[in-house]
Amino acid sequence: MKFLVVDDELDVQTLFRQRFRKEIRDGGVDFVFANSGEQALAYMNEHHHEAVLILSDINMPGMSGLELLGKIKQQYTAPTPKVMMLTAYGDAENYNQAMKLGADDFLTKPVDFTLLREKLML
Amino acid sequence: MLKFRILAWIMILLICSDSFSQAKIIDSFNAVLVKSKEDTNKVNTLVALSKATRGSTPAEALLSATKAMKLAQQLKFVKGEANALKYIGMFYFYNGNNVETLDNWLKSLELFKSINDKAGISNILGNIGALYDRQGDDEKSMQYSLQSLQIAEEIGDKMRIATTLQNIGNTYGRKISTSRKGLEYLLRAIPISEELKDQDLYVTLYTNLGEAYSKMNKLDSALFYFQKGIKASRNSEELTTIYIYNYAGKGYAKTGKFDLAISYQKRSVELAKKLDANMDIGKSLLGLGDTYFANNNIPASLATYKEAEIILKNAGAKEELKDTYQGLSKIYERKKDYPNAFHYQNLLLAIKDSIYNIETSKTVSNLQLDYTLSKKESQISLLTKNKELDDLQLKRQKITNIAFGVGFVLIMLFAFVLYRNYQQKQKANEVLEHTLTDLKSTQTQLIHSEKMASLGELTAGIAHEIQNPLNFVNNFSDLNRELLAEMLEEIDKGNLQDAKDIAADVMDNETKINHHGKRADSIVKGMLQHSRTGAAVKEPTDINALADEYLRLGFHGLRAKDNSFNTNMITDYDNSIGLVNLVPQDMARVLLNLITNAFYVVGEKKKENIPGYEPSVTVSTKKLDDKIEIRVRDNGNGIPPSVMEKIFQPFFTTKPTGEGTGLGLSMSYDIITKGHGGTIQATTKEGEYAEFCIELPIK
Repeated sequence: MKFLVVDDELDVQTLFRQRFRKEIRDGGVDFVFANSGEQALAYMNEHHHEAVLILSDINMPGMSGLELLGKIKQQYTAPTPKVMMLTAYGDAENYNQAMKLGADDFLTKPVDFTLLREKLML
Repeated sequence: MLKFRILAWIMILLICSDSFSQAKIIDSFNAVLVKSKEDTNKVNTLVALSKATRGSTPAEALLSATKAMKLAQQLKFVKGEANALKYIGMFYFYNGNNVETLDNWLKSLELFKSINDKAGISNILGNIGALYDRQGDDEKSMQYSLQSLQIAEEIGDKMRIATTLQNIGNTYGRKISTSRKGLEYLLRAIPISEELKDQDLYVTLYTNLGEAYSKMNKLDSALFYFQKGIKASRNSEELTTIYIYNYAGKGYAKTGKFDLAISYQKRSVELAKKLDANMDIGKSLLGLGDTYFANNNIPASLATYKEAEIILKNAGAKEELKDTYQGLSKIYERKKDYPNAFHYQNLLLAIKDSIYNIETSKTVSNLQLDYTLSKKESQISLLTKNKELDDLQLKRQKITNIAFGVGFVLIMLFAFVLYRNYQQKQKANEVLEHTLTDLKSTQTQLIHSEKMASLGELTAGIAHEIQNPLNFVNNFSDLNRELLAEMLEEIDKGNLQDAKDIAADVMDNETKINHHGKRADSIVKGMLQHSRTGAAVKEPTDINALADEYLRLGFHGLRAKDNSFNTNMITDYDNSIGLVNLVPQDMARVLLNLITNAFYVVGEKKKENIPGYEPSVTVSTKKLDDKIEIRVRDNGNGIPPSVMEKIFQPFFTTKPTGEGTGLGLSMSYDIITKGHGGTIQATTKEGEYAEFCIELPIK
């Protein structure tokens, strides 16, 4: 299973790799990282049939996570990838907007990895 | 000053002294007109009709005068044509149209001269003098008035002598240095007007005198003459009545008798409306608005000023419009509606600018006037003194007898007035002191609210900025516990290499935990510093780090409010700067302000959907010989030249009402110049960019 993690904070990559080290070692999952919405879209253009689930931050310089969410849900329909938002903003407005744009889930930072693991069914 | 002059021109009304009621006269004229043939009599009747109706129905007055002029031309009746032109001019005069007025009166003057009609010449010369007086051209006004006086003396026209004396009195009265001389002339005209029993003449004179005394702050004398004027006006429907009520109202407002003042000025407005005298409606409303304001009736004052604003704007009365703007600005300031206060302050500045141009040329000619006036003065004296000398000698005997008695009374009166003045000044001082304290506390509140506003911008950014490091601190520390457990397992199994690898990961993670912990710490510290009030201390600061931190905070703050906002952020820091001695929280406030402004304008431009537009904000620093430079540049729409010089003024904002306090740049300016001895400047190209450059001296 492949996950695309989108966040402008570089340490997120280390964090995910270590948190899911066992799953990665067992070969069950694979993580790809993008530092911005633009990078994420570029990746999707090339590998859209691969990505199974996208985890995206909202607040990033350049394209925001919500914009990315909207674009992905519009452009990729066969099948539409699942998108989960991971953000420091737990406020109602961001949540509602994400849901309106078709987000499949919404988690706030600091990330509870036990919960995340359950949601990803790993 | 101008108010003083306004009264002078009412004198032209003097030609008409009614002893019958207005309606009766008009009826009788109409009766004559129906029957009369097309002859010179009809011309004269039409002129008389125009004269009688010019106050009540100006349009009809113009029509009658124009008919009279045409008929006189047909009949080659020069005197009739000259008189008709005079009343056509009169219509434009009341209408405030100076150009048309002068044109008609000059034509009329030529005609009177061609038939050597001295009374007519003197009359028109006086009128033209009054016209120039109204326009503020003292020298020309004096020239025409003096010519008029000379001819009036020649033919012994008392009315003309009185009006000219009054005009000269008002011209002198306008300047503080010659106001006493102005009073003398006005007082000299009084006995003549009483002798002539002309209501309009002495009502105007009393108004002039009251106003002159009021201007010299001799309120008792002022009120005395205002009362005389009101009594003399007998509440008749004349333009002069409008004036006496308005100015008397002002006088009473000055002494704090607001109820009386308001009732007088309401009467003035009502009458002006009835007579359809546009400029006067505006002026009377302005007076009433001033009084309401002085009486602290803010809602009534606001409504009155607003009404005056519209009328004065249409009438093109700049001087009065200026006073109205000033009043409105003060009202909004009192209501703490600062954007509107600032709006009117701007209008006030603009109209002052346009008046100022006129004023400068006036000042120049006034300098010459000081010289010419004294020369003219001796001419007047020559004209009037010969006669006066004879009278004087006769009177002297009598005067000596009563002089002592009158002198004593005058001294007592003078002492009383002085005492009253002293008391009033004391009162005024107290009020001023109170106002100053109010002003100071308002200022402190405003500065505080600006700080709080920018703190609000920060809070959202801070939430995001703190949750992110916390995410790492929590998760990496959690991970390390797991990793250490795994490491122990590996050691137990004897897999030392694996254990070492895990230990390396744990150490890396510890570094990350430490890094993000410090990051959160500095954000919280920064926030505390930002909201701290009181004395700020300069300390060695890494300006690049500070700029970068606030660029991020500003961005996240805005992004939190508007998640569609987006921009490129370009940084170019000069790493050779090192530490600079400055007050970090103050400098942070400046940077945050410049940065959020830049974000705001690129965001606005983005909304215009210009194809190919990429919003971009650049922050750069540079070390020069003895100073450092910090630049914040945006590629928004730039700053229009019209507002360029106002951007550092307090309360100036281009944002919609409620979005900005208008204090950000003004505070930034103070912090940079007063707090750090530096400079802050803006450069811009409209439609392309705006750049703020801060220069700070370094030792």
